[in-house]
Amino acid sequence: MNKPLSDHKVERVKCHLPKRAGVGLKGQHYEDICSSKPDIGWFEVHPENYMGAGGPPHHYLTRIREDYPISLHGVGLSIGGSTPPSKDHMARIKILVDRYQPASFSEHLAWSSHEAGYFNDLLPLPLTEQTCQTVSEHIDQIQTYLGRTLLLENPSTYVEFTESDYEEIEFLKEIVKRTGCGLLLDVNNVYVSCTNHQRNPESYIDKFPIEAVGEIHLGGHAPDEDDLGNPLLIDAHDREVIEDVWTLYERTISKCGPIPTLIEWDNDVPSWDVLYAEAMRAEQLLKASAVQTMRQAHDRVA
Amino acid sequence: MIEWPDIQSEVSRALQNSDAKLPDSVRSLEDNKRPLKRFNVYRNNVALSLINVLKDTFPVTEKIVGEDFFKTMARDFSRDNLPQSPVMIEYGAEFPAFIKNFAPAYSLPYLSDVARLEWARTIAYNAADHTPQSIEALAGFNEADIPNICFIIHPSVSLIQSDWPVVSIWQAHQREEIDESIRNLMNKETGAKSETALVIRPHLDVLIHSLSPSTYEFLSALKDVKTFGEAVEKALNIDPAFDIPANLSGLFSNGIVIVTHLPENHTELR
Repeated sequence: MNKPLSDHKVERVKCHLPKRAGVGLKGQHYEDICSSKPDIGWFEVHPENYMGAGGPPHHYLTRIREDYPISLHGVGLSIGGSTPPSKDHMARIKILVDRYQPASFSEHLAWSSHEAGYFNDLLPLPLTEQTCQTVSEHIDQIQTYLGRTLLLENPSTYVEFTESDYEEIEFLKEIVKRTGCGLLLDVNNVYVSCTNHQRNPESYIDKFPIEAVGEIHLGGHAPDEDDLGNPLLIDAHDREVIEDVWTLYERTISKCGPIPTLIEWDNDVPSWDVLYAEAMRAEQLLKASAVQTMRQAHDRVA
Repeated sequence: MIEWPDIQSEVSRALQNSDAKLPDSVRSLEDNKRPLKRFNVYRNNVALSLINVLKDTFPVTEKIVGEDFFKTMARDFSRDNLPQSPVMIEYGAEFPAFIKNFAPAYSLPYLSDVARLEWARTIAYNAADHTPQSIEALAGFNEADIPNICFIIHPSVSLIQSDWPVVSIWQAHQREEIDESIRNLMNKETGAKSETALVIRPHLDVLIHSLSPSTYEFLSALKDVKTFGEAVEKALNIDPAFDIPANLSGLFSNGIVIVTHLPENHTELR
């Protein structure tokens, strides 16, 4: 029996990040950011890194929050798991939501916890009617508890499941329909997953329910090969965004106009200048897309 | 049709045990041939990400044993001790005890204590923020009441007692170059001495101070909510020359005290 979900027409705080480029906030850059106050739209953090009682992480995030909008991007709620999200963990996130008033809260279509413990990775799930209902219930619990709309991110995957009977896009659409959540479109994940499973990333982007997207992610990945010599891309977040992903990104925003866009660079973190330059590349494309959107609107009126 | 909870259990088992057979449900591409390398991406992510968490928390421990040794030790630990929450700053509390019983590290008997010191630094780094009191806090008390006062100690404080010179070893490894004097520190026969440490973060930076045995006893007693008089008595038992005024002012100058109170009046204060 499916449990009824709460009425998602109720008013919840939605994503209100500026339609500009942002970057993932790293401890290595706290001082640079606080001293130079760079012209950048927003910063994103993993709430799990701010769950201590005090100390430098909260000190710097508080200062940065005074000048910039913040997005909380969770990695620990295990939304795709078979058991409900941990109440303790939801409570820890609520404390941060109340304290920092983020402009957006997002999580992943993945799981990370099981009876044995927390795996510290975003793990895949079969896309079935059963998991669609489970994920929808979990998102409903989280949104009700936080009083906010969640953005759900499309995953990078390396394997699939014989049980799956949904296409990923249809699965995401169904979850949006059932829960009223939004989506976070990770264009690098699209490229990684489509390459790994030999699908066409352009047609994935073209079919994606763009009207539900509140935020875009761009990041770097590591190339490898599987046992049969097929390309296997790994979502490593340890380098620049590749040209093919930039092209796919341009295709995305040319369809829908500017959307808040994040550069994710979590490992082998570069200097602030390198990361900032990467964000400014996205910013230029967002500006161009805004101009193009205005022209199209003008042409329609004329 | 296999249910998701059962598939998830199978995937979990396969992630924890690198020799385990892959779940039948796991597939690569349409023909489902040989998904091992693909599944191993997840196994590697889990193992490496936890090793990296431990590397970040225990950098001096890693510097002492070298990258490869540390990796093996951290992998063995994390395989049997998965985190119990997604809060990675809480991961590694049991690592020092694991190191103590890790047979390949028996020749480095100080290693576990260095790890304990590093864990105390992590606790201090993330502890609640409190503004330490200045010594003026004592001005409000009658002299006769001073032996009965209690202190609430800064929540970032840890006290570490070791048979080895842990503070000196830790400090020596903050330098890029590791010279012979460090090796002497770690060698019992060439004069290694025991050290006790105070780890504290009164403001933004975590500090490590080396303590005399009597000051260690004094601070331990205060941390156990003993009165000032009781703590002094314990310190004098260790060292009859324990300097009472210097240790009292040291409590404040090092940012150790956040509240000073007479137990009877507890409710009136802060």
